[in-house]
Amino acid sequence: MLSLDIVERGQLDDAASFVVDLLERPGSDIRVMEGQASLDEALVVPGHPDAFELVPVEPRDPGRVWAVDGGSCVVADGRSFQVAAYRAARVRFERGVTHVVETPPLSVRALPPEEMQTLARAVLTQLCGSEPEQLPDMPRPVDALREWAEWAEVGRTVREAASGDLVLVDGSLHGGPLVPPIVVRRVHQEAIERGVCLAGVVKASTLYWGRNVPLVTLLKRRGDRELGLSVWVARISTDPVFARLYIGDIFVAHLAPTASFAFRIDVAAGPSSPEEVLGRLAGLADDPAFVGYPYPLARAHQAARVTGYDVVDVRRAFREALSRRGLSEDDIEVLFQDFHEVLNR
Amino acid sequence: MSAYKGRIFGKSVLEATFRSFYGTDLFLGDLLAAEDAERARRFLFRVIQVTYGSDSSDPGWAERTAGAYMAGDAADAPYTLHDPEQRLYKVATCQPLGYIEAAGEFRKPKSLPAQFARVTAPTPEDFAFLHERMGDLRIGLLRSGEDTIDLEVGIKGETLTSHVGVFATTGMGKSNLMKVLAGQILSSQGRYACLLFDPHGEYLEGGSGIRRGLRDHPWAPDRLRVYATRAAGAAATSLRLSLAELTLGDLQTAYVWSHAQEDAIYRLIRFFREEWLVRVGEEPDVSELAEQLGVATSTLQVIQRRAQRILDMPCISRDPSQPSLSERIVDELMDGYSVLVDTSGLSSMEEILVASVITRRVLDSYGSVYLDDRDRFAALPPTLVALEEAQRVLSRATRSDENVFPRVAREGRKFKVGLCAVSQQPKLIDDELLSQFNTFFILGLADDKDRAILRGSSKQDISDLGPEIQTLMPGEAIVTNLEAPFALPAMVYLYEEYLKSVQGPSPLPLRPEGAAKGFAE
Repeated sequence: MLSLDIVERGQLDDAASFVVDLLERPGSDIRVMEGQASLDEALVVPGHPDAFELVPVEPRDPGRVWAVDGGSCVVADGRSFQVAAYRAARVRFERGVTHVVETPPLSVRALPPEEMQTLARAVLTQLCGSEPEQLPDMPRPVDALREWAEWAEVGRTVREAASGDLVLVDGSLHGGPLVPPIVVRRVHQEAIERGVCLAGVVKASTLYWGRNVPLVTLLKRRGDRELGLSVWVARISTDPVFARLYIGDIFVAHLAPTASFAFRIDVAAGPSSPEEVLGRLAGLADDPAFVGYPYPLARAHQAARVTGYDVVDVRRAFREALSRRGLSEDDIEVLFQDFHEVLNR
Repeated sequence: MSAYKGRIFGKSVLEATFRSFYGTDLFLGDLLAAEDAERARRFLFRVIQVTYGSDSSDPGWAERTAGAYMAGDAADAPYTLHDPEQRLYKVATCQPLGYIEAAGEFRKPKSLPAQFARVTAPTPEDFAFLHERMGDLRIGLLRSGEDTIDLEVGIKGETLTSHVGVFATTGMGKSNLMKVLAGQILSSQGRYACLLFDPHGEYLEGGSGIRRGLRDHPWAPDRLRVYATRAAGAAATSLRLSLAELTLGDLQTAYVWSHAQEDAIYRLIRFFREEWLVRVGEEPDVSELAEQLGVATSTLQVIQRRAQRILDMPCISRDPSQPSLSERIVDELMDGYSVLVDTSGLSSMEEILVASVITRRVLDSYGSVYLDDRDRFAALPPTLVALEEAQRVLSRATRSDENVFPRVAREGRKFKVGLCAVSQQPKLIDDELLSQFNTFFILGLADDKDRAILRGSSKQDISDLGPEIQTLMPGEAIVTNLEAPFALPAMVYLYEEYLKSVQGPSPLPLRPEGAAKGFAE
């Protein structure tokens, strides 16, 4: 049957009804949807978005701040193996100026499944301080390599930071499904010993209310409605269970009065109170290009980012390396070809 | 100011673009250099546009960031762009001026400098090749944007005869430039001469306040002769022109006549010969005279009013026994004196009438010498006739075979007489006449039509310099002529400052002690 409709009739309305229903039907619990904190399932605690107190925060002098972020790409996908490139970058920000921007060259690894297991064991042994009992599932090995590199860089930064410095991590402080909790705890322990503050800022939060309604979005909407243009935070980790499982507190924060986004922010227990750390973060969120997001993390993101041009350059360099190793042009072509490209023409 | 400005990244032989630092101050008209070490060439550029640049790949980034700033301002939460020097930069578009070869020879731009070549502020050595082209009438310093380079800019005195245009809106420094140029001619001690018509007395006196005029020039007592169309005391000679010198052409240059009026004048001339102007001016019964001539009374009344005004001019003499001073003025010019005619007090048309009579006398006299005595002609100084608001006599509307000023523009060069047209509205000047002008001094011009007409007539390509000309500050100029390799940006000397550097005539040596006693002792 011929049809000019781009989608099946009625299905858009069905999808829209689901979303509206999701937002309107009250839930009774808060979910932290990640295989984290040593839990195989999502962490679920009782709670309601309107119950979290929105507390005003006064921006303060951020002091010396470090930020770490990672970037990666797949150089070649041979289906049975991948060649991945990744790096972790960091910046140091002080008195309104970024004094250090470290963008290391990309690390490139060929990753067949069996090799990946060996590599994961070696890297995690170093990160954890001892051989891990269990390796995480790694559906996308490149993500694992990037996140491990990021946490290795966070650890190095904590060791190099001075007392009172704030180290910012891109992402939550639980490490996620790819980073064993011991890695985060070791870094946290070191931060406490050195008097360094540690916080994680999550761009895409997996905090949900009820049936998977994004909690950060709900709170942002509530903040706009109730507080207008202001800086505020809401402590999410009010349930005692968080104290047992987390290294600090979880907040949703709106860090600049006119920011379009709020973020989940994890503040590790440490030498400064969460209020002070959040105030420092608000003091960092005043760049007009990144309103409401801590500026050093934005710079770290840019420093780590693997751009489309970078991907092209790395792929070309890899093809040349293959050629130097004696692979014929035809074989290289077969290796790189993707039938999707043919289909998409 | 750091000499290092940035790196070239584009774009073609005829247009270069370079990235500069966030904090680098770039101005339209900045002169810059780029080193091409591979070919041992040094390229010279002029900045013709400056734009913003950022490292963001999002084309809407800057606009959105501005919006975020404004939202913060409205919320009383001012935001701060961090690390601007790391995130923002400037992109300058440049007009390549040419390059200097290893041997020091300047070449027109026909090739690209090395990509990513370092761009730096130029050194005086970069423009050393200009020294010999700058002539002997120096009017200021080479300008780079808002700075000056230690190199004097000027024109060759010999090129005065191929005409000079001085164009600017009010307050941009025309009078100052004219005083400097005339001052340089005075300093030439007779090598060149100029005839200046000064309608406001500002060339002579300097105008108001602390301004100084040509009278204050150290060479004025020796080389400047001043005439005034009104009683001027001992400071000037009262100008006296003979009524008999006035031609129909002078009247046609000074006044706009209708066909009926011109026809009436022809009839008057036929009836009264050279007495026609006096007769019509003093005629008590215009109606009867009109009837006799067969013209309308109203037509003759207009002619009579104008004739009476001319006859009443104090500088016009009806007495044939009193010689006209125009001949003396010509002699003085030929002897290398500069002559200033103070026409203040005259109406615009009367001023043109006086200028027309004298200029025609000058052109005819120089022409006669050219024809009759080539040796004497060779010794004549190139002479410049300068007229304010020159569009009054050089427009298409005033084009006439009898108008002496277009004649000077077309033929004067052959007879060593150049025209200096000073105008606020070059767009009103006949473009065919404008193309005869070898040298343009362009100061600030706000009207695009004025700039357009100059673009079409300039001896250098100034098509990219529109924004710069539009933003010129008082005293800043663009100089174009055939001798310069490109349109030269200049900062014209302030006349008062220029005077301090002028070496006047050497004073007579002191009388030796005892000389008064005479030989007898």
